[in-house]
Amino acid sequence: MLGLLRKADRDSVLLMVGLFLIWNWRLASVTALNPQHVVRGDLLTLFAWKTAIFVGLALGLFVITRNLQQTLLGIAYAIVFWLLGANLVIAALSGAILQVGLYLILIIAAAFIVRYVITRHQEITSQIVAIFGAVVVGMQVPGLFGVITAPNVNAELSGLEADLPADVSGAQPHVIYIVPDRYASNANLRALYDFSNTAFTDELDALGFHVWNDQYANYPKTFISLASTLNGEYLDPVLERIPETAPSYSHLTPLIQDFAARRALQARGYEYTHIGSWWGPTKRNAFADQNFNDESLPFNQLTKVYLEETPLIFLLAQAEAQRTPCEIVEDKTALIREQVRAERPQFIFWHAFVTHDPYIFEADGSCRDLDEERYFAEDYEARTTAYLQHIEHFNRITLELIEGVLADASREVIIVIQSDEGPYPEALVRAGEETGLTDYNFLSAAPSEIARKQGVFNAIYLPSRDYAAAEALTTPVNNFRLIFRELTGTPIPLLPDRAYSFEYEHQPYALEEISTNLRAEE
Amino acid sequence: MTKIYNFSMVGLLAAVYAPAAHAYIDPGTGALFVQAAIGAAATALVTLKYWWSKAVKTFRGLFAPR
Repeated sequence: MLGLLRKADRDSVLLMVGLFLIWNWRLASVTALNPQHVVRGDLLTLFAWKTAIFVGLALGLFVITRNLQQTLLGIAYAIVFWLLGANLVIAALSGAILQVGLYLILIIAAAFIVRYVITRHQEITSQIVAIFGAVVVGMQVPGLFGVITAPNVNAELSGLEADLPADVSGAQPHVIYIVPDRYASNANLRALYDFSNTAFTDELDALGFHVWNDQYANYPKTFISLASTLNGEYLDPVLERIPETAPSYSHLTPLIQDFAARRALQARGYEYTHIGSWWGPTKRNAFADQNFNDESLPFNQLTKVYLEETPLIFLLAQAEAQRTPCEIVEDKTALIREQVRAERPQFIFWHAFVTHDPYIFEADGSCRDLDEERYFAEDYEARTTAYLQHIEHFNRITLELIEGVLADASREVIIVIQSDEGPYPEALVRAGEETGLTDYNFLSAAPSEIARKQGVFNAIYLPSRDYAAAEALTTPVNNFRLIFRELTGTPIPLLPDRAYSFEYEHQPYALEEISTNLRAEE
Repeated sequence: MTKIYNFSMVGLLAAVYAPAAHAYIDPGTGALFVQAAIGAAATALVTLKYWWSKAVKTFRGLFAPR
């Protein structure tokens, strides 16, 4: 094909291909670096958008200039601005005049170089750009392959619904389910940090809660732990269909979106309010009657991270400037208090990131400067101090919330406060947990580290105050079964307590049961 | 010279600075620089070959019978 073209045309095609590869380089790199978090659909959508923009730009420039070389030059300018422009926009948004000047000079200098090499030395420039593009994108192929060829898994669990009575009538108290991400168990707070949580738990006891002191998550990370608790069962039927080598966490997202407890509650006439986070799978729920989350823009995680390093960062900056992340927490608790006043029974799910980094609050609960927060990624001791301050802050706002809810609710209320995972072991944090995949071995880690990762906070408030069945439980898999026992008045079977972990984060479906290890730690 | 070097380093550091994302996805800014270096090394070989053949052609031209 290329042989049929004139030499000048051949150089232009080569240059166009090279520019297209460089245009998609960063997207390919981000995907290959994060195969566990990138969802194939999100990748293909963003790639389609980028391709459409590239083709549109090329056609538009060609129509205007009627000159292929001018068109290529225009595309090259656009790529230079796309790759270097984010910092110019950040500097402009923060009013740093000196930096604005610096980046302008950098971009203009790059544009001059591009103009010189394309107009004066197109033959060699075409080869260089094409080879550079092929090399930098080619390096991403192994990572991209895993994401693009991920199997389609029919992830659905209905064991909880099968155990419920067919009759959907019964008591309809509001149900509030709060998941404070990475909130450690009471026993771990004491053992690992010498932190006494009794002020909080004594208050909960006094309000009528049952608080478990040392429960363990059934699975070690949010995506897999939530998938289990929200469906009120273990994930074995789904895990059988996922290859152990699959890296992507997204296979379980359908279980977090379309979960059995939601279906059963909505079938009983409940209105579902979903209060999400910035984390993709719980950011919003497609089945909720009402969603509330941190961001007004509908970008998925991949698009957001991608745009943050392009000149379009100003869109994100404007969307997030309306309310700071810590101000949004107030909005969320206010929404819960408002919803429980409704006549219709309410199911409210809140994935609370208050106890999860980034640590956005000062010790007194005021908003922290986020630039300062970046520091904690590098300083384990400062990070631990901030974590404990955030536990205390969550305790304060949660107690205030619960007291308000119990005072204002239009009907009885069931409340659960259950973390999905514990804080990260020190060795894992130091190995670079912030940057994704590590070689930290979860199974050969010290028993105390495993216990730390899986030790979770769990507390339940039932209007009947009948906790006889709850007391002996050691994991949260039965939380929704306890809730439906209260709702239906029938002894829905409780599952045996089991805990699982994977060896490495990059093979999250290669799970082994670790119940015995955890009991040994006790 | 030292001033120019310091100014360049400040500029370079500022250029690689990226805002913190509230997401698990690692933007991999550092990895991009490593990849760019590998890509540059590969293209350097092509450039050398190109200029080498040009130099040889020019050299032969000097001694070619007129």
